[in-house]
Amino acid sequence: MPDAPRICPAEEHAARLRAHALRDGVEVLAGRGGRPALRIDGAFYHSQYNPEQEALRLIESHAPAPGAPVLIFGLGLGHHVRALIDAGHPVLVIEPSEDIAAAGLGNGVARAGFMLCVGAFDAGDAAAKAFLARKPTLIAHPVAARLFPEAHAAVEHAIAGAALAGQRFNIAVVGPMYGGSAPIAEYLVNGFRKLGHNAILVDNTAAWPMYEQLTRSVKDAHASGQLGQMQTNVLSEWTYARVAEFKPEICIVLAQAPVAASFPARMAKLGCITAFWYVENWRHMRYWDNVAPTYDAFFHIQPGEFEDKLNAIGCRHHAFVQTACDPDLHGAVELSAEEAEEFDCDISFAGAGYFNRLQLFKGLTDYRFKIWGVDWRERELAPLVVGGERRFDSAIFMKIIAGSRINLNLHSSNAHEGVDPRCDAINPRVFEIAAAGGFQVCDPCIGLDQHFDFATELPVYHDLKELRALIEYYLAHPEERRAMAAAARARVLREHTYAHRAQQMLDHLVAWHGPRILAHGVRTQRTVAETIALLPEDSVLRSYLETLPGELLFNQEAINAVLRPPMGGLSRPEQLFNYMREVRHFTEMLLGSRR
Amino acid sequence: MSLRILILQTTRMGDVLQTTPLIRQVRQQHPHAHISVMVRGMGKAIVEHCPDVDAVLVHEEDTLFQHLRAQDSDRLLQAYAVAEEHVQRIAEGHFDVVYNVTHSIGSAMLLKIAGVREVVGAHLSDDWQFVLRGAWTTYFFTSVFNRDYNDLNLCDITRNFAPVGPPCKSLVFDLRDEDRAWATTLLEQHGVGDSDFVACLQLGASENNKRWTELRFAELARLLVERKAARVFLVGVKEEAALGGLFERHAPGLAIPLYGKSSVPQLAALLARSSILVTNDTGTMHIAAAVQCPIALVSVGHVHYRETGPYGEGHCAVEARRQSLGRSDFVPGGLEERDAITAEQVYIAVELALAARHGEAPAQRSVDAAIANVDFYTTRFAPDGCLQFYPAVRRPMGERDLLRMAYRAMWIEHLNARRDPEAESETLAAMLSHFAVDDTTFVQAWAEAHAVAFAELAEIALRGEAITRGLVAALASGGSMVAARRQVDELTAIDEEARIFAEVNPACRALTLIARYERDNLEGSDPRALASTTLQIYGACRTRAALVAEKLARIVSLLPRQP
Repeated sequence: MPDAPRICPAEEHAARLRAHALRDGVEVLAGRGGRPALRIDGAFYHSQYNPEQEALRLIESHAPAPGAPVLIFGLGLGHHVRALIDAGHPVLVIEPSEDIAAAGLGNGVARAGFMLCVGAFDAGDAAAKAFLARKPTLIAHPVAARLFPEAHAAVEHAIAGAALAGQRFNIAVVGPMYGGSAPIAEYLVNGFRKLGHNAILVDNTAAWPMYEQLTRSVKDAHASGQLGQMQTNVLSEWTYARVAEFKPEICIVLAQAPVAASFPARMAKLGCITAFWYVENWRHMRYWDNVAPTYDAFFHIQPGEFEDKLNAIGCRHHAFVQTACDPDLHGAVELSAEEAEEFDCDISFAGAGYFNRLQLFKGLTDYRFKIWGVDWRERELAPLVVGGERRFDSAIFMKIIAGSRINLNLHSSNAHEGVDPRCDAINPRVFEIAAAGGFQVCDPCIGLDQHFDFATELPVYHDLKELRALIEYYLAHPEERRAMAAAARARVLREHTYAHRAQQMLDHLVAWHGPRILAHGVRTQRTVAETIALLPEDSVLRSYLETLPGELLFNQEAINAVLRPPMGGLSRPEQLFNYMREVRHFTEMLLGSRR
Repeated sequence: MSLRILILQTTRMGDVLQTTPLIRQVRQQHPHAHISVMVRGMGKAIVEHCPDVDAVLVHEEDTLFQHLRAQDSDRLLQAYAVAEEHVQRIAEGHFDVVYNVTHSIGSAMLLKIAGVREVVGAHLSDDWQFVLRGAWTTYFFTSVFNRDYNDLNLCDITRNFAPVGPPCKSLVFDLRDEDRAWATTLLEQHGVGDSDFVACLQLGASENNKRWTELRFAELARLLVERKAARVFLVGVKEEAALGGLFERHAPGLAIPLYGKSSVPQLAALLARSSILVTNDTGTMHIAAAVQCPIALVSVGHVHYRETGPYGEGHCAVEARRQSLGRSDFVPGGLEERDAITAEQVYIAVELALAARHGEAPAQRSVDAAIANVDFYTTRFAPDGCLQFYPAVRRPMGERDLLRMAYRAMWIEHLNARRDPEAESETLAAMLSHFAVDDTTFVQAWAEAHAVAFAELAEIALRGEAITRGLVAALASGGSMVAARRQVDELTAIDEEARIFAEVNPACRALTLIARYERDNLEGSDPRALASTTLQIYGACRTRAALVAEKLARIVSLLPRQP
């Protein structure tokens, strides 16, 4: 006989459970005044004195909107279920225990007419999905939550996931003063924005020149270190102030960002979920164990061994999130004649001169080889460095790629003479070159085969001999080179953009911390187009909003940015938005919160 | 159909109380008008106790602000709806005239959007520029530039938006029987008899730098208990209870905390029965002033008590001596001033306020070591009709005192657009009598030097007038635009010359800043009208400068002759 459906009208469950024998400890007794009372293992499920009033208090404490659907966890004798139905709420009741369901249904509550799930709640069930899509309020009976904590947590997560689906979040991304993760912070912000979220970059790069000046102008290492730390402390406070003012639901901190150890705890007090993205090679940079357990989530770029290490230090919520490309910044560029002369070469490398690169690339100097970046002081390579030792931005990088027939990639190591066979930290350059339509050859970093097909998208080498063979072959076969570059580009645009990474992060964060995000509340962020859809056809506000870009977020800052200043001939909505701008400014001044 | 009037005052509670003299004068001007007052929630109780008011409109700007601050799309829609309601409510009031005494562009915008035709105070022109009409209105909005020398209380400034015969010289707040009964019951519960000395202490202030320390308040409470057997109450809102906790640590059991335990009218009733209120610059101070409770104001930090101090006679302000006598806008240090005034010194202020209760000038004190670092001022109305803070300690006159007297005399004449030499002489003489002017050498030298500077400023303004007159004529005759542009360039050069001159002669700076503000807020876009208004502004600047020079000479003429 097939299992009865878990979710069905309560009366069907009542019929099914009519002959159910209650386990020991589950009793329905005659309570005070003769009314039935449910006792579970010696403790009463409801008030013996006034269970109806108790039910009303429970409902009031959750304050569901009038007529809003309610997901009830815990049936008991159903006093709260009846009260909600009487108040006009559509309900779905989850009762994890067949014994309690049988006791409750045996008491006639099923006649109230509602849908009931008995046993484990499957959020993927079609009926469950349909109900969750209505974004119900969750009311958990406290006794049920105490008796079945895991089931309760699962329901909380399911309801949070449903409620947050399609939600536009406010997200702050904190960048470092300097280094490779600085542009990644910017790319990630773009990724979130592409997904429609309201994201800001908390940029600390302006502090880098001062930091360098502070730490380099003092020879005493101790004093220099102290000064650097003092500036970092100031930056941490600055960062906190900026993030707190933005009031995000989620704050993502990039590796090397100048935030104090107390930062995640302080953000938690504001109801903000924090995540750290460790875009570092954990084998080279060892501060991860201080950071990982203190954040609500820890993202990293190296699966495998590192994940075991994270588990070992008690980091509960961690996930592998690879770097990627930002198609807005990483794309093919046309070179001018002058630029073509500067950037044209057979092979190129753009990046820092780590030990293994210095050693390997010495074997390539017989090609038309150009290098950009710093730390290329080896006698054989220094003459190949274009423009001398200097850093370059992504715009220059795109030109380098455009001018190179073959772009070299070699993951850094200071312990190997060439390819590091244990390397599992894929560098962002892989994705950026591919997005720019460049052809690259790369060492086979562990995990790289998960992202690219080596035969059709990204050829790899294990040593100098293989590398030279690849160079020879692909210099001689430009069509194949172009085909592979095109395939790699299509792949990264399909799978490896920062928007993909941003979505990955959000999926994890909602799965892990959805109930917390939901409990704190998410500020609604609609676009102008979405807001227009909410307004009546004849609304003057609607007419005004139709003159603005549809993708613009409908919040005061964004509207102010496009608002015409006070002048004659403004429409009524423009007048009112100008008025609101003044009210905000004046009240902040009055409250002393703005100088 | 009666005239419909709205008075818009949507700042703090104290500001609402300070507007009550204006409301009274508007009522005197229009006895049969329907007068509405729009205030924030915190000011509602004040205007409900003002008998001149027919209707109270509560301006939910706080709700609007909360919606805006939420940074949420739904809340922004709600904010928009609230803003529409604001406009709608004013439009539906069909007001014939609105007095806007709110220092904000937003309030002017609100009136503009609602289509109010006649606004006294801040409003917007048809091209939505912030403009001011009327001498007193302009003075109200430019007093911030004049703080160094402003000697006029805000109440005197705003009540002149509606000048009447006998001016209203007090704040207006009618106590009700139920509030008096509450105060009586409270005092009975604490065993306070009818003849007991009741001292209320207000420890809080809107900003930390304006708050005399709770330790000092505790020391003062001890003195009041020891010397006057005072029963001490700590008053304030519930958010200030923490200060009461600190007070209690320094003076356990000495005072009865009432934080958040009374409504505004109940507090007013308690203050009406109290012998003294010792306070920082707060709304409570204005409530006490309204119910004629003597006030000892401890003025620390960025407080401009001449402008915002208690309106009425018989109050005393004490402040630490600064670079110049009585200067209240310049705080040389940080928060240390909060501790500089001792409890003994504030006790003296209490005595001065009690002595001045009956409107008589208390005997001036001589300078001694105990009060060397502070100044005391007691309030009385001067013969010019406005409130004056008279020095309660006899000291030599300072340069700033001289300038303040000259400025006050100038503004009274200029703003009222009439001379009253008799009242002016009496006012100046009354003030001079509070200074030790045995040796007038310095005063004469300052007066002469400043008179020259003001005369020079008047001359610069006169040149500005001459050029503007040419510009007006050129525009009227449809003359060459090239010539007009040249004249505008010449005016720009004159303005720059005046600015530099005022930097070199800071006593003149208030006048150039006010003229610049007036120039920045010209109404309309018609070049001829703009040029005409500009001409008036240069003329006003010249008149003011010349008048200050004249008043300086007048003060010198009133000085006692040197032997």
